[in-house]
Amino acid sequence: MYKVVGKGVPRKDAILKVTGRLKFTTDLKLPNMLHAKLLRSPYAHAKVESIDASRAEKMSGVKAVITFYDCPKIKFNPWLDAPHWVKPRDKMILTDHPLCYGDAIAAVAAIDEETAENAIEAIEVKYKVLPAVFDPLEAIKDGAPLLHEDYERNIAVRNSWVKGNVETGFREADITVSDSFKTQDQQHAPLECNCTIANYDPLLNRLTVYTTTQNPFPYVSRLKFALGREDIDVRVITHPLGGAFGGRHEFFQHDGAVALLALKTGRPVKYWATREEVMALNKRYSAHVEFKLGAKRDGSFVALEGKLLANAGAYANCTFANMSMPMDLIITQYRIPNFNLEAYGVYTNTQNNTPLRGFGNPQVFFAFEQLVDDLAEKLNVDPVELRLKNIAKVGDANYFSKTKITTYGLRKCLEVVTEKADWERRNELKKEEGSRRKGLGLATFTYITSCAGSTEGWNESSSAIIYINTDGTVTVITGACELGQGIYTTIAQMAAEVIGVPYEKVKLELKMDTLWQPWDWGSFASRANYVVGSAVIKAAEEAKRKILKVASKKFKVEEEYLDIKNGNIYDVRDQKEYCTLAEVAHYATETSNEPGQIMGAYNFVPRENPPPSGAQIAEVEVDVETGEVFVKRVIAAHDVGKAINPSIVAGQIHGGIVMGTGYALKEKLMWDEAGTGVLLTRLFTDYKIPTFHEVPVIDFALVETNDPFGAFGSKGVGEPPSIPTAAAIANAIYHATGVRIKELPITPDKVLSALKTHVLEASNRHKRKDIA
Amino acid sequence: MDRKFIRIIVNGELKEAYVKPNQTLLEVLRDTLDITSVKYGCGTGDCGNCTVLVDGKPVLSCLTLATTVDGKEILTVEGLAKDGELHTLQKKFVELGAFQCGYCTPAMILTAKSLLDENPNPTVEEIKDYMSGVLCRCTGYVKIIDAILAAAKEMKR
Repeated sequence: MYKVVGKGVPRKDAILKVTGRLKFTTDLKLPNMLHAKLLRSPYAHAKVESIDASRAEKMSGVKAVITFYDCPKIKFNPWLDAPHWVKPRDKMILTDHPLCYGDAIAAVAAIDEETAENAIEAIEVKYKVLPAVFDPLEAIKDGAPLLHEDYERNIAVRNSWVKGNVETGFREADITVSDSFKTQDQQHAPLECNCTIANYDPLLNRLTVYTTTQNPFPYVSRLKFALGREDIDVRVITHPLGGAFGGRHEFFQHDGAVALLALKTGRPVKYWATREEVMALNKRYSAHVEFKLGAKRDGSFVALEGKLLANAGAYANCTFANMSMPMDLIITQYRIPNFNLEAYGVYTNTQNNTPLRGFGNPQVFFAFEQLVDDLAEKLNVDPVELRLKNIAKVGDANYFSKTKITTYGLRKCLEVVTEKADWERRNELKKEEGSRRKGLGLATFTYITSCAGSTEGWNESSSAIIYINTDGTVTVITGACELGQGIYTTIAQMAAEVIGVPYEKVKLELKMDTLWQPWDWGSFASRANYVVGSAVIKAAEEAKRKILKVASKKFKVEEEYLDIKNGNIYDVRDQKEYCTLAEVAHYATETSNEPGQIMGAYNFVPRENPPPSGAQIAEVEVDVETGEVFVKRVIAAHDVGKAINPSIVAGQIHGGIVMGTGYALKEKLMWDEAGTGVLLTRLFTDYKIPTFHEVPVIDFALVETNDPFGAFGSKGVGEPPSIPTAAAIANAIYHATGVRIKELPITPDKVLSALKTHVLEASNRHKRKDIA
Repeated sequence: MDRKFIRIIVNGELKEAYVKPNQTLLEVLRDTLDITSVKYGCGTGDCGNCTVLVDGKPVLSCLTLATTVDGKEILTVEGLAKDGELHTLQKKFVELGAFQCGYCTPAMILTAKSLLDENPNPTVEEIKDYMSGVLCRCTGYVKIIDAILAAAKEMKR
């Protein structure tokens, strides 16, 4: 029985957050600080024919102006520096050839934001507007505007998956279903807008950067690369972020611009993006997804063909990972003997794609999970049965991490969720009530815990250092990045559990600083709790071994008989307490010939990839007169391995489902495609994220499979809850109305038009029958 | 631009400032008075993260000109804990983990305070209605609703 792990203890950052005392990056002010603004392209595709910044430079209060002329001619990939994930390198800090609305062209540093803004307006730019393309289906055609010379038909990256013989597979199939689906571009919309402050000290040749990144450590090499300045000592400090959701992995153009301005002025320079700018920074890619699935009459899948066309945007960023992972996970989740899948990441004149809670999985599972339901209907079997028949088992291949599935709770999740939702009533449900139609829909998913194993030459390590202080408190030092997910709390719980001290005795710094904290790849891929957590466990075990060794000598008791409980060292044979941890730590550090401070350190390299999975059932009401969809209840069961902190896990499930509901019903980035290509959805007025009003009743259960490789058995939980929600809602709408909505977001117009077609088709069928 | 002298009571303390006529209350609180719990999230009144209480009522500080609050009392979340003790709402937010990144938390707590001052016994629907002007991207709002209900219950005692 664990004492701290598995308990919903209050978070380490709680007091600071409820009192407003926590300093976010955006709250920082440095002495003598300047403020930066960027000149961003108002066009989706243009060439700058001339730029004149002389008026801006002369303005009072303006300290520096830089344009693409002053910018190193270095192309970089904004994402992590992992082999073949960074390709292609296609982006520059400032450009004279903007490829999307919001692409950065020039930047200004001035004494205040207002002056900087006025200076930006004073820069005169003459653009030659070029034809733009917004849809990957168009961009891939011959004759479409080419965004990057070396990439024919705008294909930035492609990947394929082949197993068995798909033609033979389909010949063997008794039944085949196929369909095409379309999803939209989505923005992360964290409430804190991006912010970067750079400060250059020429005597130390050190550039200190405070920034809202999810990856402070990899940021160092990316900044040096983009600046072409390997000689500079870069220090990155990241305060807890006001949300991220995957949108803050990148090295942004403003990061480079602010660094250049700091180098130029010798003063700290702060850039704080406006909401309008954040909305245009990056996105979850929209996609065209096609699948053809063949099965035997008994329901077993025999062949799958699929194609994913991802709208990568103007720059590739992490397109490769983003479009490969979902296909990997479809074939991991379902046993399919023959498949032929391909994925294309296609450049378009829109902001570049980046991960958003679940990488590309919500897109692809939206399509696949609807097709599975379609197949179930044609086979006349329950959708749950059909999934149970085809889902993977422990020991099957995990195509993403190239490992074996270590533990897998999906079967259990399906049992639990159907029981909780009383799935059986689905068939007897009184569907009609006035203009409302009720329905229940199911969707499942499988995900990852880190990117471990996914790519050659990628170690994905994280480190931890632990001190047992002379007062018996424990200091945990890692490079973990707090985005709101509660990583400090769960690693503190793990350290407390391993060493045997109360949770309250564990102390952590609530920000990341690359100067003195040990390496961490960052918070993404639902990895931090696993990778950083595992490093913490190992470091804590080492510290514990060391202090027990000292105690053993001091009390002349063999180490194997000693343990620590509640901060006291005791004898496991008779439970006799020798002394407090503080006494031994003080003795070891200050008053003896023992080796000194008790510490442990560990660098954990993950080799396994515990797969989280889950099932959600959405209960919806569709108003057939207005086309509105109301998500009344979402019932969920998630295999989280082990909930280190059930309260935090609950928060992730609530937040993920509500975000998934927004994705399903409301959120969509839109550009003026017929005109300049300006982003139309720049404010929350136009881009609606869920409010209090859209919160369904959320009823969830945790399935704990205690993965042998997870930190205390845990698996990733940050991203998974939002993956199946849209698919579950779409399946519920079908159940309620008999119409399948294949395009996100499911807005009233789409529902009404689908219903209209449905009614027409039905009446045509009648007519045909009459004629016959 | 001519600056105007204003006097405001912020969290019980008298503050004086020379403000520009186009300066918002958000800017004055953050930039002049260093009260950073008041957050910028959109600048257009859509996200509610800049909410403060002016004479006890929630106000969007990003849409409020500082000159218009001259002589008024302003409460930010920094002023809520008294004598080293958290307000019941803050305690419930801590206990139930009704926050994640914490960026919207000050606005959530202040708006909830105003709600409970007006209506000490709100239903879930009333909470949703009153709070719906404040956006949160992390929590899915569920625990925020729970924390407000729990605080209401405790405050009645």
